[in-house]
Amino acid sequence: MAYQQLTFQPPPPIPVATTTPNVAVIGSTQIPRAGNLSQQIVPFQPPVTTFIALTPQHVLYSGPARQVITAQPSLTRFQPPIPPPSHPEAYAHVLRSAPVPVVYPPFPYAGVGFNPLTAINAGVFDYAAALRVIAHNALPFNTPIPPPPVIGCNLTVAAMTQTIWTRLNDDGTYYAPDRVLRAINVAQNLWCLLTLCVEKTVTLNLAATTTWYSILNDFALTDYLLPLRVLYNGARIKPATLNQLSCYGNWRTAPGVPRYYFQQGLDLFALYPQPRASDPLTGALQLTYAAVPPQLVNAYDLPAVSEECQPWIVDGATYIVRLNEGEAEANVTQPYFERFMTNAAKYGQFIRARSKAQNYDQYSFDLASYDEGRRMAQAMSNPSPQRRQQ
Amino acid sequence: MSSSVFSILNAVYEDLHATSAADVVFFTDAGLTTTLNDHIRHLCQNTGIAPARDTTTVVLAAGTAVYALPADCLSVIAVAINGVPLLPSSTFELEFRDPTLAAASTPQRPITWWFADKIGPANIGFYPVPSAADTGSTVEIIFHNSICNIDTAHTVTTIPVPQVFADWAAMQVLADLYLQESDFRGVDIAQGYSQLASLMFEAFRKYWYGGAQ
Repeated sequence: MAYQQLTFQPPPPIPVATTTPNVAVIGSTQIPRAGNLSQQIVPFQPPVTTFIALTPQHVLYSGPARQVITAQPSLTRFQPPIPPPSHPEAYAHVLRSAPVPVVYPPFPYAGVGFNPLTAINAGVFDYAAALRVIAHNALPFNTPIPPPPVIGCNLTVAAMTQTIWTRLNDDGTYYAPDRVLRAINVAQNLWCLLTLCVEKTVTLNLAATTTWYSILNDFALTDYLLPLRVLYNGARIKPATLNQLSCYGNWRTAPGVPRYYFQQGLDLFALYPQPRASDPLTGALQLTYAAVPPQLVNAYDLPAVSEECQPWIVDGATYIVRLNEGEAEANVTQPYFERFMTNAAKYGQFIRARSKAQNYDQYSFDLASYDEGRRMAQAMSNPSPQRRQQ
Repeated sequence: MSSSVFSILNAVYEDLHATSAADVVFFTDAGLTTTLNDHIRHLCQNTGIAPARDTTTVVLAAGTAVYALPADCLSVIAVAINGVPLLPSSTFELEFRDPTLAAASTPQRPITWWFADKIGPANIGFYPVPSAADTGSTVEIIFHNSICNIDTAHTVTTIPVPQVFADWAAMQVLADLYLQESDFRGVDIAQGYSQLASLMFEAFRKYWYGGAQ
């Protein structure tokens, strides 16, 4: 069977060191934050052998070991570049250093928030309000990067990033880690959109004599895409359209045990009949829905999709990260995207069959109905070198 | 279920080989933001992902047949008064029923139909004309809403859609920008983004377009 349901349970994620939001931890020293972190000036005091500069003026330094800095959440915006640094010697040191953008476990607390070594060229950072900076001792410069860890069959972000870099003959110099990470997230989002493979079930509270609900405001489901299965007090209730419900006349205020639900767009949700105060309300609604996967942030994060799909995410991300190169550069990665699409179609078929077996209310998008030829026509008219050889 | 405008713009900057608005030589932050707003509006118009329910905008007054629709209303899906659904109709049909429709001078109860044609944009009409007994009644209008409030001053920082829609919007903006006439133009790059976005758009239409009506 092509797609066998795996029962493998991944180990729990590696614990992440956290600090209170307004404290920067540098080594074992906590520095309280006053305004933006960029105001935390650590004086430049020789002798310093290695250091990391947040900006040329604001240098975090350490002794012989390099410190890796991760930002959670990630940086929100870059501001325009600033004039040359006030410490030329410090800047030169950073530029001379070989970029080591990703640090893998066994430094479990290091991540890929951003790479100060490349980001230093970008200018001043505008930090998010809740920025946490966690600094740890990590590999010294120019140390070979250990192979990425694989937890069971799962691919971590670090492993996927490394695969993409290998395919593109890069080491993070050109395709920076945050850019690759974004491509991985886009590919994973697209995969989940096409297959509806990420499902969640939540138990929700209802309000008495209330027909209308907002998925976002009333149920606080921030990752909601589509309803798959709805139960009221353990009994299945069916989807209905507004026209169908209008056949019941004054359905908006009719009391009773809900038998139908109505969903329009992403947010508008209604029940018919509306439950009375005497009906079960607390935890009465069980909603199974197709969800958007959680966005990947750190090097040790695992995708929400199952293990067998993760290599296809890497394929999709390889194509997306190269898309803005254009022409032959982008077309070289076209076969990866073709493989992504082929497997999305197969896996979508599997999910659709499973959804039908479970009598879900929505099925995933059938890629057979999508005219792939339109997208491929451009690639065929401007074939990649590999295709030309074929 | 909300996406950051800044994260979308940052994604666009990165794929324009820039790090910030100041780096994108051929474009401006305002231009990018306007393009993003246009595409989000286009998404709402063509997939119907953002319906809304309004119960406060239209308050009936005796003898008044036509009222302004809620702001950003693209099209009306359903209308009800006091929980009772009204039937959709058109000026053409109603004039067949009552040649004096335009005069709208004789209130008759109950209000049965609503129409939205030939009365100007962003208006809704009721027939028969509301009577004195209807005065003060609010009308429930379920309509396709347009998310079009992303401003160039960035006072609006989030869009109430999941991240996958933000990915689509970023690709559409990139497709537009790479197609603009400049030394930065890259037609094949624009096509690449556009085609990937069209794949996502097909899925959006399949899942949300016209559903549940």
